[in-house]
Amino acid sequence: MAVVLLFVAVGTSNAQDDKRLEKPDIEVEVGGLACPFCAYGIEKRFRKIEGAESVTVLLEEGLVQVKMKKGTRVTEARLRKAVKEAGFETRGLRFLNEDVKADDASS
Amino acid sequence: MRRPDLTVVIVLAILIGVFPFRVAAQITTQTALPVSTGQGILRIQLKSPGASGSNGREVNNLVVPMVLIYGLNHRLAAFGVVPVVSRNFDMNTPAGKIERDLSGLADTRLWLRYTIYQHNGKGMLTRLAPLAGVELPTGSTTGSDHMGRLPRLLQLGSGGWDPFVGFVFTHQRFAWQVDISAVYQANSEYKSFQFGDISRLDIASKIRLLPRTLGSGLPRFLYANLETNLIDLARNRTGNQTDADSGGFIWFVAPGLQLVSRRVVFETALQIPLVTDMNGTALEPDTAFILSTRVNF
Repeated sequence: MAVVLLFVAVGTSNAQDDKRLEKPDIEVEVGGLACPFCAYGIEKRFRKIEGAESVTVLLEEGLVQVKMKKGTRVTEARLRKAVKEAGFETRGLRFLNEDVKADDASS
Repeated sequence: MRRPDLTVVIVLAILIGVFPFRVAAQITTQTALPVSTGQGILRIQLKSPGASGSNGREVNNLVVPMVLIYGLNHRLAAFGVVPVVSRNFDMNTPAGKIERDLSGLADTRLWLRYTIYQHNGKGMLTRLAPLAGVELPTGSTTGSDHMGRLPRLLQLGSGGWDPFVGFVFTHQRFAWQVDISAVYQANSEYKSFQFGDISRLDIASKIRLLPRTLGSGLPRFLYANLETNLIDLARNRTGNQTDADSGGFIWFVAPGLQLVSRRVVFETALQIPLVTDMNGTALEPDTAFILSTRVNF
């Protein structure tokens, strides 16, 4: 009974592991994200992208937000590769800051 | 050390019947959820499966399976389960109550799971993945206690290399999830003894209790789980002789709770034998308590 109460207490604490980024550079729509534990895998792949400063997963929206370090760029192909390596699917991709976008040909 | 009464040992070996199933350190059910390339998951469980029968026979186990999962690529994941077991056995005999006990490493399971079908949508996924592996004879077959060597059926290991195959299907949405897995294990003979083959069908379902609405960010989920395990155990064999007092059919149900965050899962369940149809005097399984945690790394 104590174990059940502990679970409920922690579950109702309304804690969240990630907050929306204020000014993300990139947003990737990811198909297949349906639970918090799975989000870690995609976050880990995105953190391996060279130049990635912050990565946030917004579960209900199915979005991964990325903030790049100043002066760094990333290709669309690299972002799609990260989603695939995580075991999911890219449904959409938006560069909100064109300065971070690198051409695929230059990668 | 005083030599145990040989008569008692023989009576014990006969009256044990058979431990209804080896304590394979299996997770209640499999899941086909993706494991990212280079991602690892460590799972540690605490389980208390036991069994009882006539003549006051009772086996109690404390099992700690340590599970390591690693994503080799986005479709292929490797699994390993290393169980540590503490077992004790009691029974009444004409010479009085007998108590036997044994602790140590049991047989290790290794397998690969490969996703052959996937469908991804917003807030939902479907996966189908076959799996294949082997149970390795890392557990002892010659363990002993204060009364000397334990009977074969109480040993922690099978002695043989036992292959298994199966598949797992998962459909997950924000509000609920279903996992269905079927596994067949062919147990091999070792020193003229062979445990019966195992066939099992596991169905797990869960619904999200909290949060009621998701909102932004990455909230923790609290799930209510209900799992069911259908297990068929073939009879054991010694040489050409089939043990009539071994094997049978078990239907477990396991209600539980699961708290899921980005890095950690905590879960607890009671595995309750709803239907048992054991052969002859084979021991009947008791309710088991399960406590488990998983960590992403």
